[in-house]
Amino acid sequence: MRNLVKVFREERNLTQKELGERVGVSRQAINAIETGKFDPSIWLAYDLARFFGVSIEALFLFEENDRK
Amino acid sequence: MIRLLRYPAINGIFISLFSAFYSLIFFITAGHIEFQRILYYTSSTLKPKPFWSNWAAFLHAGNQKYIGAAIIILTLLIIVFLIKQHRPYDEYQVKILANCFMTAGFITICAVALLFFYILSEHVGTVEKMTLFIIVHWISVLIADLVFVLYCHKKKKISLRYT
Repeated sequence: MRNLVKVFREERNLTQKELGERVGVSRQAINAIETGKFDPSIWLAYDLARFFGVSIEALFLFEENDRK
Repeated sequence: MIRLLRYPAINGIFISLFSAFYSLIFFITAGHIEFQRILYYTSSTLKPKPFWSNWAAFLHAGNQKYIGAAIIILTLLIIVFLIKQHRPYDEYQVKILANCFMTAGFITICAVALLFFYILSEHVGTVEKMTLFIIVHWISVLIADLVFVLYCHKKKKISLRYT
């Protein structure tokens, strides 16, 4: 799933590791989310959106083609 | 079930139990006369394939104890890194671990079917064949698990959850 995690992270000058530490996941998880290899759970998506101060829909781009 | 995979201790207990079981068998059977008797390809009246006769000779000499030792060493390495993993795996790591188990399960199912077919094709030397299968299978599991724990190994302290 396409998302703007990397955009918001870089706006705040955070590394993947730092962002992972803030939301309680590993650097590998953040990298996988940013590259679209991994779709986070609803709670992790919520934590990320709350951290960036945006809605989940603003952070993750829901498209019908991505529906599993 | 998936929730159990979050805890490195579960991984450690699972690996330790089976490693202890296999290494104990290898240590007990090494040089044990009853085990040597049930080996088929060590019979001098036979003309088996070189691979199986060499493998049977390896087992007959009791060298499987070194394989048992290698299993213990690999398991201890895994446990050391698991102990250093201070927090549960996150959902991404659990997904990788679950996928690893599914892949291993699928490969095992296929390997068992192939082994069954092979034994039916040549029904003798079952002990040698099963022993080789178990060794290759379990060493592969340990190496894969070691790669996983190294991949997840972290040096930082417990992270602060954003509030």
